Amino acid sequence: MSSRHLCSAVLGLLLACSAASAKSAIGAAAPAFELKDQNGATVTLAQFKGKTVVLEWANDGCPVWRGHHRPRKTTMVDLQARYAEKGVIWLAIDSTASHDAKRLKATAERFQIAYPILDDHAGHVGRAYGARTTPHMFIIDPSGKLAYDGAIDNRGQGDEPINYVDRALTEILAAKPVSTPKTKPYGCGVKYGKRK
Amino acid sequence: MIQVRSILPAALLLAAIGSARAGAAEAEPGQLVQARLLTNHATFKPGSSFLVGVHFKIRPKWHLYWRDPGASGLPTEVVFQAPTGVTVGPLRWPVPEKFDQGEGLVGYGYQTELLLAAEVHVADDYRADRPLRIEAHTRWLACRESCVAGEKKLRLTLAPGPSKPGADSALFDQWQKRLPLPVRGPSSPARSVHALPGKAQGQQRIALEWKQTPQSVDCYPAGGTAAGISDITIENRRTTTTLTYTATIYSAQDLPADGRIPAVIVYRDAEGVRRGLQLALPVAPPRPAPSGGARVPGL
Repeated sequence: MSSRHLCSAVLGLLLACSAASAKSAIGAAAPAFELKDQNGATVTLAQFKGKTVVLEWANDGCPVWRGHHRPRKTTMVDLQARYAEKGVIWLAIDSTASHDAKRLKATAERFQIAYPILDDHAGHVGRAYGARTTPHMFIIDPSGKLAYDGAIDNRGQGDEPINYVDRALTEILAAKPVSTPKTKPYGCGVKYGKRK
Repeated sequence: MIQVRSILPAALLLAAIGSARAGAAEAEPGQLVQARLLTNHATFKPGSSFLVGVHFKIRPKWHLYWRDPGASGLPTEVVFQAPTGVTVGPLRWPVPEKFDQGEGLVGYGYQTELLLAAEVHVADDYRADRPLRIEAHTRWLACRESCVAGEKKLRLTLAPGPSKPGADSALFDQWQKRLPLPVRGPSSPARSVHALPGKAQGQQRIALEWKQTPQSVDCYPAGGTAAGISDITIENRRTTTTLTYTATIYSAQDLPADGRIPAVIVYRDAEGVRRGLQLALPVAPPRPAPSGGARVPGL
């Protein structure tokens, strides 16, 4: 009796889990969004039609996200600068419920981030993409389809360090299929607010 | 007296070589997580084995992560260093707790305290003419609602001498009981494990035959960055558990050659005691061995 209850509870949890990750299927149209950046400017996904767009889930309160930014490392800003030259759009999105535009402006200044940090404190966009961690990376190809979902890199684990986003962008720009379209993101959980 | 002897040197070492770090706005991590390097033996001799481990004390309501943190988080890391002739085995991960991280996402980890131990083997021809020094570099992510990263470099020295238990041997014994049981051998709660044909494309099925009917069964996969499993269903019929899942390969090159990922089957035994069973779950076909001779061991 008790085992049956527990199992169905576990099952429910796991099914909910897989449902959450199915939100952002590779090869499906990336969810549209319209958000304000740290300076109050409106940014939409639609305005970058025909371009490759990178989404970086951000939270300046998370040591794992900070670990990819100044002063520790410059993983994100370097990659952004390198691919900006090739026409790739890079957007950070903060879905932390307690953060606001003022906080994001301070974040951009503190970490010397020149690209937009979008205010998604209501969490709609994060939930639509199934963003789980900070950082959690997504790449949208020029046809508007989701081409990558996962970690920025392999954390230096394995035989060699791999930056998955770098590799996927190289492949997309060469009009090749992304060899590793899905990896497991790592970092702090996204601090979503209550669902309304 | 015993307490003073065991705690004081470690505390001094922490003060001397500890290098904790955290973001400027975060709490002092020293208060959040305390890490000490301990051993179950007071002395060492050539040809012997003993245990070393990092003992974490975690502030209430905060947690550290298992080898696979689940939907978010980072695995707790301990890297040991020992002189040539002294080898340190893999980390022994106690059965973790499972927690809800919000949005229906699960995490695996530890609250209050954790001992991450490993077996040390001293070679027969090791020259035991001076104390043996072992170092541990540990890094962790501690989370509650927010997360704080921490790091410590620890070391201990053991004097040469006849084997005798150290002041912390009871702690090691206590944590030994929290390790998952092997799937084979007399201590295993399982009679057999075998793969079944999947019912759908990409689906994997495993049947686990228990020696005694368990009260509940759950599966904690530890595919890490290599692979994950989803759509897990667990069916229990008396002494048989059927586990069904779909695997997603994140990084084929990081997968073990046998195409299996580690997992722990967490169950309550007939007496209601929570235990774990170590299992390797097939997620991909085995890679052919380079020499063509090696046989892939069974489940």
